[in-house]
Amino acid sequence: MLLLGDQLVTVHERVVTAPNWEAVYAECAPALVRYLVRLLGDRESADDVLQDSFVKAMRARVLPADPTGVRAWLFRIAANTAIDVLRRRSRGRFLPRARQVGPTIEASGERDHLARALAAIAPEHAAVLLLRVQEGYSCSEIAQMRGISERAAKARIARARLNFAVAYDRIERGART
Amino acid sequence: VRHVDELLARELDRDLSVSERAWLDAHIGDCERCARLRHQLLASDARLRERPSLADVPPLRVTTPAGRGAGQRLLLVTTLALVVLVVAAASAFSLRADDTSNVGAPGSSASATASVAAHATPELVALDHNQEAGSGPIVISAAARAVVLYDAQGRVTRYDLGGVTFSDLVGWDTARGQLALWRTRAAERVAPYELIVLSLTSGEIRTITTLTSGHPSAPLWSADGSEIAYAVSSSPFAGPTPPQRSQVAIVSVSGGTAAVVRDQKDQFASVPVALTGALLATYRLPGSYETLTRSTGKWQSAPTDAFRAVTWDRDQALLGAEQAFEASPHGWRVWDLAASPLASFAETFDQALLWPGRSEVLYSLNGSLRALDFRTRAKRELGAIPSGARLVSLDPSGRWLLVGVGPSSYRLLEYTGSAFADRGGTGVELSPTMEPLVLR
Repeated sequence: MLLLGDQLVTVHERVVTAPNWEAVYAECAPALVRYLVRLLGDRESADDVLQDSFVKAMRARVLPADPTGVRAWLFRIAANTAIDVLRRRSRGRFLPRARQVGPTIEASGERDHLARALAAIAPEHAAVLLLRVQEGYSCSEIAQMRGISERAAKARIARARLNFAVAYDRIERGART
Repeated sequence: VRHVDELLARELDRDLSVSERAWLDAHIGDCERCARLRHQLLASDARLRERPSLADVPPLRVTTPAGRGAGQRLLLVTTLALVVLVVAAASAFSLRADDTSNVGAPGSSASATASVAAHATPELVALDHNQEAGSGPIVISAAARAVVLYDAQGRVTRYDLGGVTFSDLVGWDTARGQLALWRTRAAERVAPYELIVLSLTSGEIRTITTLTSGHPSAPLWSADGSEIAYAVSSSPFAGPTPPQRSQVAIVSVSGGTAAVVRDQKDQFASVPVALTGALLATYRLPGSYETLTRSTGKWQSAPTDAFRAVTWDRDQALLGAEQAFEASPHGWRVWDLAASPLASFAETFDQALLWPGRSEVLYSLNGSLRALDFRTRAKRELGAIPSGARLVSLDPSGRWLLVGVGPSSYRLLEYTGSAFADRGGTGVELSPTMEPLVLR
């Protein structure tokens, strides 16, 4: 039994070969940073969380059973790390909820509304919504990543969809008035 | 969430039974609201599927830890298991209500004087963002090693912390120009964590208490600057499940043992939000405001909405809070320390601050500054702010407002009696992960 990120996992002691981290990074980092930029709202935070996620991965004493699962495992670590960042931002005093968006990443108008709507919903909801819709992971895969049942994952994603749609609509209407 | 709303959201994942699908199709034909919501949900998915275009991804800044190279023997994860969570969590943290040793005692109150290059009336304070590039086998990002003060004349004073910050959560005592934060001397930012107080006028750093395990919350200063309250959790505060154990403690800045005033199991931690000689107030997710009458040791609890942040204006002894967007209505509430509601608003805004010395909430919306009086409900316009700017903080006098512009630049605005006037930028690039504060 070991702690891995925020999740507890059971471990079977088997011998596996550590991945070539540079190769894993080259393959997974673009998708991870794309996910983190949307989730965190700015490129600098996304880059920081990306690096932190790889630090955690490289320190981990356990690896996914299936080598092809490394990518999903990294998404899980990145999501946990980003949620930590988002919740830390929102504790203790008023912090910018509508996070700043780098000019190279999102333009104004519709994309700005998208960033603000994502920032307006609960971090956990934003995390699973992006995994499902933007990154295309299945509800089953997301359930495994978040350490919840598939049924709970489906309910969470549905709730996230509704909250995002309502938030987006509210922001869009606010911009028009 | 209405049942039909849930069906509409689940429809996008093709997660409906045949009968549910048939019922929904029939319902949509008669219900304009649900037809509109279905359209919104479809449009939302389309927007989210459009992936952002990115500049190049930076190279991997971390290096493989020694002994973790290719071919090393590693363990293998197979399954997640709830039963394991319970067993393992029990061994991860072991606080007792009557044992303050894990929270930490002041011990030898070590003092050290930080290097201070210049002194000036503080105007803008920020934590520096020093990455320890190349300093070890693993690069840790976002570890602050210094506090940097920028004064009105553009002079810079750097205070070395003698370690790295545990997090960017800082307790500010603006009236006395001092701040409190958790420091670790371990390069990998692990326990023990020292609660230190840095005086921005003398540069002195004092260790108040030491925490040997757990995860601390941001330090909260008492109104008179004599005490600090904090929470300690057995697992990170942002975790998806409640920690197995959490405590709330109060420690005197002048020395003495940290007193544990609350010990909780399997609940999200109560985070201190206000502290006076008579009362400690905490807020706990998913929505509970709790107060401790210090003379009697009795706790009282009042349910609230799920706020994302709670602030405290020491002069007015008020708490302001902003509701999570998904709550209804979207807005904020203001109440006094005894949980008596003073005002509740359903006002759309980007960011909001309690305005020190006034019964107003200052907020921004679509590039304009506005104020709303929570006693009279009067609203007024206070001018424009730069596009994309966010409200960061007001100084204790309520005259100076700091706004963030872009990812790392800040501008000072001065209240002239009827509007805020832009008084220029800081001239420095600051990390967006550390929030500065106006102290003037």
